[in-house]
Amino acid sequence: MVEAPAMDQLSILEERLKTVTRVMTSKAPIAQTPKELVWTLNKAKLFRYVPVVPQKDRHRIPLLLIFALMNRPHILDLRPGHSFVEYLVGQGFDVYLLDWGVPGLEDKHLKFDDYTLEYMPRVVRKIKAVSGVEEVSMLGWCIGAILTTIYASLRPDDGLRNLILLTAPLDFSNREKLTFGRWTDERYFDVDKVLATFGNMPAEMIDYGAKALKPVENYIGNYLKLWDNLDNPKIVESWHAMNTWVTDNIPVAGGAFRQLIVDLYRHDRLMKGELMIRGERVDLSRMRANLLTVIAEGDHITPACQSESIVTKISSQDKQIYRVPGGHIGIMAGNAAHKRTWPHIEQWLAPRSK
Amino acid sequence: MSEAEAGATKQPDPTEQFREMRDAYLAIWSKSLIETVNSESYAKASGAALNGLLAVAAPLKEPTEQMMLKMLQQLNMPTSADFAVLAGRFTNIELLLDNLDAKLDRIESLVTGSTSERQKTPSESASDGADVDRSNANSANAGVRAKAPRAARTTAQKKPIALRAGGTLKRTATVKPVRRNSRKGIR
Repeated sequence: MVEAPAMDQLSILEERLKTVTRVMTSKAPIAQTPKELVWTLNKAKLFRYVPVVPQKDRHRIPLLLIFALMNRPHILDLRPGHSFVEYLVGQGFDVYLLDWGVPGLEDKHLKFDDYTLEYMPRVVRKIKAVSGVEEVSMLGWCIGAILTTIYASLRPDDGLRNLILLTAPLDFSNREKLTFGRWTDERYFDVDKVLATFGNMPAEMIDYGAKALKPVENYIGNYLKLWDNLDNPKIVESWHAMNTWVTDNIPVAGGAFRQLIVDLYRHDRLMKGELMIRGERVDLSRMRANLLTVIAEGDHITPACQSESIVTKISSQDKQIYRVPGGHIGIMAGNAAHKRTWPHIEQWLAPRSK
Repeated sequence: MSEAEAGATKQPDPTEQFREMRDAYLAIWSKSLIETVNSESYAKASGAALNGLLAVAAPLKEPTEQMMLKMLQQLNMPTSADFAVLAGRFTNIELLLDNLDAKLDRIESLVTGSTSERQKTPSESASDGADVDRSNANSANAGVRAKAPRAARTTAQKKPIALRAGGTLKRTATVKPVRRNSRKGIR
Protein backbone atom coordinates (compact mmCIF):
# COMPACT_ATOMS: atom_id res chain seq x y z
CA MET A 1 0.00 0.00 0.00
CA VAL A 2 1.28 3.49 -0.90
CA GLU A 3 1.68 5.80 2.10
CA ALA A 4 0.08 9.24 2.28
CA PRO A 5 3.28 11.38 1.82
CA ALA A 6 4.16 9.34 -1.25
CA MET A 7 0.67 9.97 -2.62
CA ASP A 8 1.18 13.71 -2.04
CA GLN A 9 4.43 13.58 -3.95
CA LEU A 10 2.71 11.78 -6.82
CA SER A 11 -0.11 14.31 -7.01
CA ILE A 12 2.42 17.18 -6.97
CA LEU A 13 4.31 15.49 -9.78
CA GLU A 14 1.08 15.00 -11.71
CA GLU A 15 0.21 18.70 -11.32
CA ARG A 16 3.67 19.70 -12.49
CA LEU A 17 3.44 17.48 -15.54
CA LYS A 18 0.04 18.95 -16.37
CA THR A 19 1.46 22.47 -16.19
CA VAL A 20 4.44 21.53 -18.35
CA THR A 21 2.16 19.92 -20.94
CA ARG A 22 -0.08 22.99 -20.96
CA VAL A 23 2.65 25.55 -21.48
CA MET A 24 4.54 23.42 -23.99
CA THR A 25 1.55 22.58 -26.17
CA SER A 26 -0.55 25.75 -26.07
CA LYS A 27 -0.08 29.36 -27.09
CA ALA A 28 -0.26 32.11 -24.50
CA PRO A 29 -2.41 35.14 -25.32
CA ILE A 30 0.14 37.71 -26.47
CA ALA A 31 -0.06 41.08 -28.29
CA GLN A 32 -3.22 42.10 -26.43
CA THR A 33 -2.93 45.89 -26.44
CA PRO A 34 -5.91 47.27 -28.44
CA LYS A 35 -4.91 48.40 -31.91
CA GLU A 36 -6.39 49.21 -35.26
CA LEU A 37 -5.25 48.47 -38.77
CA VAL A 38 -4.53 51.67 -40.71
CA TRP A 39 -2.59 50.47 -43.76
CA THR A 40 -1.60 47.30 -45.58
CA LEU A 41 0.64 46.41 -48.49
CA ASN A 42 1.30 42.83 -49.55
CA LYS A 43 1.94 41.00 -46.24
CA ALA A 44 2.87 44.16 -44.32
CA LYS A 45 0.42 45.77 -41.92
CA LEU A 46 0.58 49.06 -40.09
CA PHE A 47 -1.22 49.19 -36.77
CA ARG A 48 -2.02 52.15 -34.60
CA TYR A 49 -2.42 51.47 -30.89
CA VAL A 50 -5.55 52.97 -29.42
CA PRO A 51 -4.49 55.92 -27.24
CA VAL A 52 -5.38 55.86 -23.55
CA VAL A 53 -4.24 59.42 -22.82
CA PRO A 54 -6.39 62.41 -23.87
CA GLN A 55 -5.03 64.15 -26.96
CA LYS A 56 -4.03 67.33 -25.12
CA ASP A 57 -1.71 65.32 -22.87
CA ARG A 58 -0.18 63.21 -25.61
CA HIS A 59 3.25 63.71 -27.17
CA ARG A 60 2.92 65.41 -30.52
CA ILE A 61 5.24 63.29 -32.66
CA PRO A 62 4.08 59.74 -33.39
CA LEU A 63 6.40 56.79 -32.87
CA LEU A 64 6.79 53.96 -35.38
CA LEU A 65 8.10 50.60 -34.15
CA ILE A 66 9.91 48.39 -36.66
CA PHE A 67 10.97 44.93 -35.63
CA ALA A 68 13.23 42.36 -37.29
CA LEU A 69 12.26 40.35 -40.34
CA MET A 70 12.72 36.88 -38.83
CA ASN A 71 10.40 37.09 -35.81
CA ARG A 72 6.93 38.35 -35.07
CA PRO A 73 6.85 41.85 -33.58
CA HIS A 74 4.70 40.61 -30.68
CA ILE A 75 7.71 40.75 -28.36
CA LEU A 76 7.10 44.50 -28.23
CA ASP A 77 3.64 43.82 -26.82
CA LEU A 78 4.19 40.54 -25.01
CA ARG A 79 1.43 40.45 -22.39
CA PRO A 80 -0.61 42.93 -20.36
CA GLY A 81 1.52 44.45 -17.63
CA HIS A 82 4.71 43.38 -19.41
CA SER A 83 4.35 45.18 -22.70
CA PHE A 84 6.61 47.92 -24.05
CA VAL A 85 3.81 49.13 -26.32
CA GLU A 86 1.33 49.29 -23.44
CA TYR A 87 3.94 51.26 -21.44
CA LEU A 88 4.50 53.77 -24.25
CA VAL A 89 0.78 54.23 -24.91
CA GLY A 90 0.30 54.81 -21.18
CA GLN A 91 3.03 57.47 -21.27
CA GLY A 92 1.10 59.40 -23.91
CA PHE A 93 2.84 58.35 -27.10
CA ASP A 94 0.97 57.85 -30.36
CA VAL A 95 2.37 54.42 -31.20
CA TYR A 96 2.37 52.67 -34.58
CA LEU A 97 3.72 49.22 -35.33
CA LEU A 98 4.82 47.93 -38.72
CA ASP A 99 4.34 44.17 -38.93
CA TRP A 100 6.22 42.83 -41.98
CA GLY A 101 4.09 39.68 -42.07
CA VAL A 102 5.17 36.26 -43.26
CA PRO A 103 6.83 36.25 -46.68
CA GLY A 104 5.61 33.57 -49.05
CA LEU A 105 7.48 32.05 -51.98
CA GLU A 106 6.18 34.88 -54.13
CA ASP A 107 8.13 37.30 -51.93
CA LYS A 108 11.50 35.63 -52.29
CA HIS A 109 12.83 38.54 -54.33
CA LEU A 110 12.03 41.16 -51.67
CA LYS A 111 15.18 43.01 -50.65
CA PHE A 112 16.20 45.75 -48.24
CA ASP A 113 15.58 48.02 -51.23
CA ASP A 114 11.88 47.17 -51.20
CA TYR A 115 11.51 47.40 -47.45
CA THR A 116 13.30 50.74 -47.13
CA LEU A 117 12.22 52.53 -50.29
CA GLU A 118 8.86 50.98 -51.10
CA TYR A 119 7.27 50.12 -47.78
CA MET A 120 8.77 52.51 -45.24
CA PRO A 121 8.17 55.80 -47.10
CA ARG A 122 4.54 54.75 -47.66
CA VAL A 123 4.18 53.88 -43.98
CA VAL A 124 5.64 57.24 -42.97
CA ARG A 125 3.25 59.01 -45.34
CA LYS A 126 0.31 57.15 -43.87
CA ILE A 127 1.35 57.98 -40.31
CA LYS A 128 1.66 61.65 -41.24
CA ALA A 129 -1.81 61.55 -42.79
CA VAL A 130 -3.38 59.80 -39.81
CA SER A 131 -1.62 61.83 -37.12
CA GLY A 132 -1.65 65.15 -38.93
CA VAL A 133 1.98 65.69 -37.90
CA GLU A 134 4.77 66.13 -40.43
CA GLU A 135 7.43 64.47 -38.27
CA VAL A 136 7.85 60.95 -36.92
CA SER A 137 10.08 59.04 -34.53
CA MET A 138 11.23 55.51 -35.30
CA LEU A 139 12.40 52.65 -33.17
CA GLY A 140 14.18 49.81 -34.97
CA TRP A 141 15.19 46.60 -33.28
CA CYS A 142 17.82 44.18 -34.64
CA ILE A 143 17.31 43.86 -38.42
CA GLY A 144 14.62 46.52 -38.00
CA ALA A 145 17.45 48.80 -36.84
CA ILE A 146 19.35 48.11 -40.07
CA LEU A 147 16.27 49.03 -42.10
CA THR A 148 15.60 52.21 -40.14
CA THR A 149 19.26 53.25 -40.41
CA ILE A 150 19.24 52.75 -44.18
CA TYR A 151 15.96 54.67 -44.46
CA ALA A 152 17.23 57.50 -42.23
CA SER A 153 20.34 57.85 -44.40
CA LEU A 154 18.53 57.66 -47.72
CA ARG A 155 15.59 59.90 -46.81
CA PRO A 156 16.87 62.42 -44.24
CA ASP A 157 14.29 64.99 -45.34
CA ASP A 158 11.26 62.74 -44.92
CA GLY A 159 10.48 64.10 -41.45
CA LEU A 160 12.32 61.57 -39.31
CA ARG A 161 13.10 63.48 -36.12
CA ASN A 162 14.16 60.81 -33.64
CA LEU A 163 15.68 57.40 -34.22
CA ILE A 164 16.08 54.75 -31.55
CA LEU A 165 18.17 51.72 -32.43
CA LEU A 166 17.96 48.64 -30.25
CA THR A 167 20.76 46.07 -30.48
CA ALA A 168 21.54 47.24 -33.99
CA PRO A 169 23.87 45.03 -36.06
CA LEU A 170 25.42 47.72 -38.25
CA ASP A 171 29.19 47.31 -38.03
CA PHE A 172 30.52 43.96 -39.29
CA SER A 173 34.21 44.84 -39.28
CA ASN A 174 35.19 42.94 -36.12
CA ARG A 175 34.85 39.45 -37.56
CA GLU A 176 36.48 37.81 -34.55
CA LYS A 177 33.46 38.63 -32.40
CA LEU A 178 30.80 37.67 -34.91
CA THR A 179 29.82 34.02 -34.63
CA PHE A 180 27.20 34.39 -37.34
CA GLY A 181 29.87 35.94 -39.54
CA ARG A 182 32.06 32.89 -39.05
CA TRP A 183 29.22 30.47 -39.82
CA THR A 184 28.17 32.33 -42.94
CA ASP A 185 31.67 32.76 -44.30
CA GLU A 186 31.71 32.10 -48.04
CA ARG A 187 34.08 29.15 -47.54
CA TYR A 188 31.44 27.25 -45.56
CA PHE A 189 28.04 28.71 -46.37
CA ASP A 190 26.72 28.87 -49.93
CA VAL A 191 23.90 31.39 -49.56
CA ASP A 192 22.87 31.18 -53.21
CA LYS A 193 22.55 27.39 -53.05
CA VAL A 194 20.42 27.63 -49.91
CA LEU A 195 18.12 30.22 -51.47
CA ALA A 196 17.93 28.33 -54.77
CA THR A 197 16.70 25.32 -52.81
CA PHE A 198 14.33 27.00 -50.37
CA GLY A 199 13.49 30.35 -51.99
CA ASN A 200 13.31 32.15 -48.64
CA MET A 201 15.56 31.45 -45.68
CA PRO A 202 13.54 28.88 -43.71
CA ALA A 203 12.40 29.87 -40.22
CA GLU A 204 13.69 26.59 -38.77
CA MET A 205 17.23 27.29 -39.96
CA ILE A 206 17.19 30.78 -38.50
CA ASP A 207 15.81 29.44 -35.24
CA TYR A 208 18.54 26.80 -35.11
CA GLY A 209 21.20 29.43 -35.80
CA ALA A 210 19.98 31.70 -33.02
CA LYS A 211 19.70 28.88 -30.50
CA ALA A 212 22.99 27.25 -31.41
CA LEU A 213 24.87 30.36 -30.28
CA LYS A 214 24.10 29.32 -26.69
CA PRO A 215 23.08 25.68 -27.01
CA VAL A 216 22.99 24.70 -23.34
CA GLU A 217 20.96 27.74 -22.27
CA ASN A 218 18.48 27.44 -25.14
CA TYR A 219 18.02 23.69 -25.39
CA ILE A 220 18.38 22.69 -21.71
CA GLY A 221 18.59 25.65 -19.33
CA ASN A 222 15.40 27.20 -20.62
CA TYR A 223 13.34 24.10 -19.80
CA LEU A 224 15.08 23.55 -16.46
CA LYS A 225 14.14 27.11 -15.53
CA LEU A 226 10.52 26.22 -16.16
CA TRP A 227 10.75 22.96 -14.21
CA ASP A 228 12.40 24.64 -11.21
CA ASN A 229 9.71 27.33 -11.07
CA LEU A 230 6.57 25.33 -11.74
CA ASP A 231 5.23 26.33 -8.32
CA ASN A 232 5.47 30.01 -9.21
CA PRO A 233 2.53 30.97 -11.49
CA LYS A 234 4.07 34.35 -12.36
CA ILE A 235 7.23 32.79 -13.73
CA VAL A 236 5.27 30.04 -15.49
CA GLU A 237 3.02 32.55 -17.27
CA SER A 238 5.99 34.71 -18.21
CA TRP A 239 7.79 31.63 -19.57
CA HIS A 240 4.67 30.58 -21.48
CA ALA A 241 4.33 33.98 -23.18
CA MET A 242 8.01 34.09 -24.09
CA ASN A 243 7.94 30.52 -25.38
CA THR A 244 4.90 31.35 -27.52
CA TRP A 245 6.85 34.16 -29.15
CA VAL A 246 10.17 32.28 -29.44
CA THR A 247 8.61 29.29 -31.19
CA ASP A 248 6.69 31.42 -33.69
CA ASN A 249 9.48 32.09 -36.17
CA ILE A 250 9.03 33.26 -39.74
CA PRO A 251 11.18 32.87 -42.85
CA VAL A 252 13.21 35.76 -44.23
CA ALA A 253 12.66 36.83 -47.83
CA GLY A 254 15.49 35.40 -49.95
CA GLY A 255 16.64 38.71 -51.41
CA ALA A 256 16.89 40.41 -48.03
CA PHE A 257 18.68 37.43 -46.48
CA ARG A 258 21.24 37.43 -49.29
CA GLN A 259 21.92 41.14 -48.73
CA LEU A 260 22.31 40.54 -45.00
CA ILE A 261 24.91 37.84 -45.56
CA VAL A 262 26.77 39.13 -48.61
CA ASP A 263 26.58 42.91 -48.27
CA LEU A 264 26.72 43.15 -44.49
CA TYR A 265 28.24 40.08 -42.84
CA ARG A 266 30.81 39.43 -45.55
CA HIS A 267 31.63 42.88 -46.92
CA ASP A 268 30.48 45.33 -44.21
CA ARG A 269 29.19 47.62 -46.94
CA LEU A 270 26.94 49.77 -44.73
CA MET A 271 29.76 51.06 -42.54
CA LYS A 272 32.14 51.39 -45.47
CA GLY A 273 29.60 53.54 -47.28
CA GLU A 274 29.39 51.09 -50.18
CA LEU A 275 25.88 49.74 -49.72
CA MET A 276 23.74 50.44 -52.75
CA ILE A 277 19.95 50.55 -52.45
CA ARG A 278 18.12 50.95 -55.76
CA GLY A 279 21.13 52.67 -57.22
CA GLU A 280 21.52 55.07 -54.28
CA ARG A 281 24.56 54.83 -52.06
CA VAL A 282 23.71 54.64 -48.38
CA ASP A 283 25.73 57.48 -46.90
CA LEU A 284 25.44 57.41 -43.11
CA SER A 285 26.74 60.96 -42.87
CA ARG A 286 23.43 62.14 -44.35
CA MET A 287 21.54 60.99 -41.27
CA ARG A 288 20.47 63.97 -39.16
CA ALA A 289 17.82 62.52 -36.87
CA ASN A 290 18.40 62.58 -33.13
CA LEU A 291 19.83 59.18 -32.25
CA LEU A 292 19.65 56.91 -29.24
CA THR A 293 21.36 53.57 -29.65
CA VAL A 294 20.68 50.98 -26.98
CA ILE A 295 23.31 48.31 -26.50
CA ALA A 296 22.80 45.11 -24.55
CA GLU A 297 26.02 44.35 -22.71
CA GLY A 298 25.40 40.61 -22.67
CA ASP A 299 24.19 40.36 -26.26
CA HIS A 300 25.51 37.21 -27.96
CA ILE A 301 23.61 37.85 -31.21
CA THR A 302 24.61 41.49 -31.74
CA PRO A 303 27.82 42.21 -29.79
CA ALA A 304 28.31 45.79 -28.60
CA CYS A 305 31.00 46.42 -31.22
CA GLN A 306 28.32 46.22 -33.92
CA SER A 307 26.24 49.10 -32.55
CA GLU A 308 28.83 51.56 -31.22
CA SER A 309 30.50 53.00 -34.29
CA ILE A 310 27.32 54.40 -35.89
CA VAL A 311 27.60 57.54 -33.72
CA THR A 312 30.93 58.44 -35.34
CA LYS A 313 29.53 58.20 -38.85
CA ILE A 314 26.35 60.25 -38.72
CA SER A 315 25.77 64.01 -38.86
CA SER A 316 23.22 64.08 -36.05
CA GLN A 317 24.10 66.62 -33.37
CA ASP A 318 22.06 64.89 -30.71
CA LYS A 319 23.29 61.32 -30.28
CA GLN A 320 23.57 59.05 -27.30
CA ILE A 321 24.66 55.51 -26.50
CA TYR A 322 22.87 53.73 -23.68
CA ARG A 323 24.28 50.46 -22.35
CA VAL A 324 22.04 48.08 -20.47
CA PRO A 325 22.96 44.84 -18.72
CA GLY A 326 21.11 42.00 -20.41
CA GLY A 327 20.78 40.01 -23.59
CA HIS A 328 19.47 40.67 -27.09
CA ILE A 329 15.84 40.18 -26.12
CA GLY A 330 16.11 40.43 -22.33
CA ILE A 331 16.80 44.18 -22.33
CA MET A 332 13.31 44.81 -23.70
CA ALA A 333 11.31 41.83 -22.52
CA GLY A 334 13.13 40.71 -19.37
CA ASN A 335 12.01 41.33 -15.81
CA ALA A 336 14.18 44.46 -15.45
CA ALA A 337 13.12 46.02 -18.77
CA HIS A 338 10.35 48.13 -17.23
CA LYS A 339 12.77 49.46 -14.60
CA ARG A 340 15.70 50.31 -16.86
CA THR A 341 15.32 50.24 -20.65
CA TRP A 342 11.72 51.39 -21.08
CA PRO A 343 11.99 54.43 -18.74
CA HIS A 344 15.27 55.48 -20.35
CA ILE A 345 13.77 55.34 -23.83
CA GLU A 346 10.69 57.21 -22.63
CA GLN A 347 12.77 59.90 -20.89
CA TRP A 348 14.94 60.34 -23.97
CA LEU A 349 12.05 60.44 -26.42
CA ALA A 350 9.49 62.53 -24.50
CA PRO A 351 11.31 65.92 -24.64
CA ARG A 352 12.17 65.26 -28.30
CA SER A 353 8.56 64.56 -29.24
CA LYS A 354 7.15 68.02 -28.57
CA MET B 1 11.97 28.72 18.59
CA SER B 2 13.92 31.69 17.25
CA GLU B 3 14.88 32.03 13.61
CA ALA B 4 18.52 31.40 14.44
CA GLU B 5 17.64 28.16 16.19
CA ALA B 6 15.39 27.18 13.33
CA GLY B 7 18.19 27.86 10.89
CA ALA B 8 20.62 25.82 12.95
CA THR B 9 18.31 22.82 13.13
CA LYS B 10 17.17 23.09 9.50
CA GLN B 11 17.79 19.92 7.52
CA PRO B 12 19.79 20.35 4.29
CA ASP B 13 17.59 19.97 1.25
CA PRO B 14 19.03 17.24 -0.99
CA THR B 15 17.20 18.64 -4.05
CA GLU B 16 18.82 22.02 -3.51
CA GLN B 17 22.25 20.43 -3.41
CA PHE B 18 21.45 18.48 -6.54
CA ARG B 19 20.34 21.68 -8.29
CA GLU B 20 23.52 23.49 -7.34
CA MET B 21 25.62 20.63 -8.69
CA ARG B 22 23.54 20.47 -11.83
CA ASP B 23 23.80 24.21 -12.46
CA ALA B 24 27.55 24.19 -11.90
CA TYR B 25 27.90 21.31 -14.35
CA LEU B 26 25.70 23.07 -16.92
CA ALA B 27 27.69 26.29 -16.57
CA ILE B 28 30.91 24.44 -17.38
CA TRP B 29 29.25 22.61 -20.24
CA SER B 30 27.77 25.84 -21.58
CA LYS B 31 31.11 27.63 -21.58
CA SER B 32 32.75 24.76 -23.38
CA LEU B 33 30.00 24.52 -26.03
CA ILE B 34 29.99 28.28 -26.64
CA GLU B 35 33.72 28.05 -27.34
CA THR B 36 33.06 25.12 -29.66
CA VAL B 37 30.35 26.85 -31.71
CA ASN B 38 32.57 29.92 -31.98
CA SER B 39 35.40 27.93 -33.51
CA GLU B 40 36.41 27.74 -37.14
CA SER B 41 36.10 23.95 -37.09
CA TYR B 42 32.43 24.17 -36.03
CA ALA B 43 31.71 26.62 -38.85
CA LYS B 44 33.37 24.21 -41.27
CA ALA B 45 31.45 21.21 -39.89
CA SER B 46 28.07 22.98 -39.93
CA GLY B 47 28.75 24.16 -43.48
CA ALA B 48 29.53 20.60 -44.53
CA ALA B 49 26.33 19.34 -42.85
CA LEU B 50 24.28 21.98 -44.66
CA ASN B 51 25.90 21.13 -47.98
CA GLY B 52 25.04 17.50 -47.36
CA LEU B 53 21.41 18.42 -46.71
CA LEU B 54 21.29 20.57 -49.84
CA ALA B 55 22.95 17.84 -51.91
CA VAL B 56 20.06 15.55 -50.99
CA ALA B 57 17.28 18.16 -51.19
CA ALA B 58 18.24 20.04 -54.36
CA PRO B 59 18.19 17.12 -56.88
CA LEU B 60 14.81 16.01 -55.56
CA LYS B 61 13.32 19.47 -55.75
CA GLU B 62 13.08 19.93 -59.50
CA PRO B 63 11.65 16.50 -60.42
CA THR B 64 9.14 16.79 -57.57
CA GLU B 65 8.07 20.22 -58.76
CA GLN B 66 7.78 19.03 -62.36
CA MET B 67 5.72 16.03 -61.32
CA MET B 68 3.41 18.17 -59.21
CA LEU B 69 3.08 20.71 -62.03
CA LYS B 70 2.03 18.02 -64.51
CA MET B 71 -0.39 16.50 -62.05
CA LEU B 72 -2.07 19.82 -61.30
CA GLN B 73 -2.26 20.65 -65.01
CA GLN B 74 -3.95 17.31 -65.64
CA LEU B 75 -6.43 18.08 -62.90
CA ASN B 76 -6.95 21.58 -64.31
CA MET B 77 -5.90 23.15 -61.05
CA PRO B 78 -3.69 26.17 -60.40
CA THR B 79 -0.09 25.62 -59.31
CA SER B 80 1.88 27.45 -56.63
CA ALA B 81 3.53 29.43 -59.44
CA ASP B 82 0.09 30.60 -60.57
CA PHE B 83 -0.70 31.75 -57.05
CA ALA B 84 2.67 33.53 -56.85
CA VAL B 85 1.90 35.43 -60.07
CA LEU B 86 -1.55 36.29 -58.77
CA ALA B 87 -0.09 37.51 -55.47
CA GLY B 88 2.35 39.71 -57.40
CA ARG B 89 -0.51 41.21 -59.36
CA PHE B 90 -2.48 41.89 -56.18
CA THR B 91 0.54 43.64 -54.70
CA ASN B 92 0.84 45.80 -57.81
CA ILE B 93 -2.82 46.75 -57.49
CA GLU B 94 -2.26 47.55 -53.81
CA LEU B 95 0.67 49.79 -54.78
CA LEU B 96 -1.50 51.62 -57.30
CA LEU B 97 -4.26 52.03 -54.72
CA ASP B 98 -1.75 53.35 -52.20
CA ASN B 99 -0.50 55.84 -54.79
CA LEU B 100 -4.10 56.95 -55.36
CA ASP B 101 -4.64 57.21 -51.61
CA ALA B 102 -1.55 59.42 -51.35
CA LYS B 103 -2.83 61.64 -54.17
CA LEU B 104 -6.28 61.88 -52.60
CA ASP B 105 -4.72 62.84 -49.27
CA ARG B 106 -2.75 65.57 -50.99
CA ILE B 107 -5.84 66.85 -52.76
CA GLU B 108 -7.82 66.69 -49.52
CA SER B 109 -5.20 68.71 -47.70
CA LEU B 110 -5.20 71.29 -50.51
CA VAL B 111 -8.99 71.43 -50.49
CA THR B 112 -9.16 71.88 -46.75
CA GLY B 113 -6.34 74.39 -47.03
CA SER B 114 -4.44 72.90 -44.13
CA THR B 115 -1.66 70.36 -44.08
CA SER B 116 -2.48 69.52 -40.51
CA GLU B 117 -5.92 68.27 -41.45
CA ARG B 118 -5.71 64.72 -40.26
CA GLN B 119 -7.48 61.54 -41.17
CA LYS B 120 -9.46 59.87 -38.50
CA THR B 121 -8.65 56.38 -37.43
CA PRO B 122 -11.51 53.89 -37.21
CA SER B 123 -11.82 54.21 -33.45
CA GLU B 124 -11.96 57.99 -33.62
CA SER B 125 -14.54 57.92 -36.41
CA ALA B 126 -16.65 55.57 -34.37
CA SER B 127 -16.64 57.97 -31.44
CA ASP B 128 -17.41 61.10 -33.49
CA GLY B 129 -13.90 62.39 -33.00
CA ALA B 130 -14.32 63.08 -29.30
CA ASP B 131 -11.30 62.69 -27.06
CA VAL B 132 -12.06 59.47 -25.39
CA ASP B 133 -10.14 57.97 -22.54
CA ARG B 134 -9.73 54.38 -23.64
CA SER B 135 -8.07 53.14 -20.51
CA ASN B 136 -10.92 50.74 -20.04
CA ALA B 137 -10.31 49.03 -23.35
CA ASN B 138 -10.05 45.42 -22.30
CA SER B 139 -8.70 42.37 -24.04
CA ALA B 140 -12.10 41.61 -25.52
CA ASN B 141 -11.63 44.74 -27.60
CA ALA B 142 -8.11 43.79 -28.54
CA GLY B 143 -7.31 43.03 -32.13
CA VAL B 144 -7.87 44.66 -35.43
CA ARG B 145 -10.83 46.84 -36.25
CA ALA B 146 -12.37 47.52 -39.60
CA LYS B 147 -11.21 50.52 -41.56
CA ALA B 148 -13.64 53.41 -41.61
CA PRO B 149 -14.86 54.70 -44.95
CA ARG B 150 -13.31 57.91 -46.28
CA ALA B 151 -16.67 59.62 -45.83
CA ALA B 152 -16.33 59.18 -42.09
CA ARG B 153 -13.47 61.65 -41.98
CA THR B 154 -14.06 65.20 -40.86
CA THR B 155 -15.04 67.71 -43.54
CA ALA B 156 -16.33 70.45 -41.27
CA GLN B 157 -13.50 72.89 -42.06
CA LYS B 158 -13.66 72.57 -45.85
CA LYS B 159 -13.48 75.89 -47.72
CA PRO B 160 -15.59 76.39 -50.83
CA ILE B 161 -12.96 75.35 -53.35
CA ALA B 162 -13.69 73.32 -56.48
CA LEU B 163 -11.36 71.19 -58.51
CA ARG B 164 -10.91 71.91 -62.20
CA ALA B 165 -10.08 69.13 -64.61
CA GLY B 166 -6.38 68.46 -64.24
CA GLY B 167 -6.44 69.04 -60.53
CA THR B 168 -5.96 72.85 -60.41
CA LEU B 169 -7.92 74.68 -57.78
CA LYS B 170 -10.66 77.21 -58.45
CA ARG B 171 -12.14 79.30 -55.66
CA THR B 172 -15.92 79.43 -55.99
CA ALA B 173 -18.06 82.40 -55.06
CA THR B 174 -19.14 82.36 -51.47
CA VAL B 175 -22.82 81.56 -51.18
CA LYS B 176 -24.74 83.74 -48.77
CA PRO B 177 -26.15 81.73 -45.91
CA VAL B 178 -29.91 81.25 -45.89
CA ARG B 179 -31.41 82.82 -42.80
CA ARG B 180 -34.61 81.74 -41.29
CA ASN B 181 -36.72 84.38 -39.58
CA SER B 182 -39.44 82.94 -37.44
CA ARG B 183 -41.76 85.93 -38.05
CA LYS B 184 -41.08 86.75 -41.73
CA GLY B 185 -40.37 83.31 -43.04
CA ILE B 186 -37.53 82.63 -45.44
CA ARG B 187 -36.04 85.78 -47.03
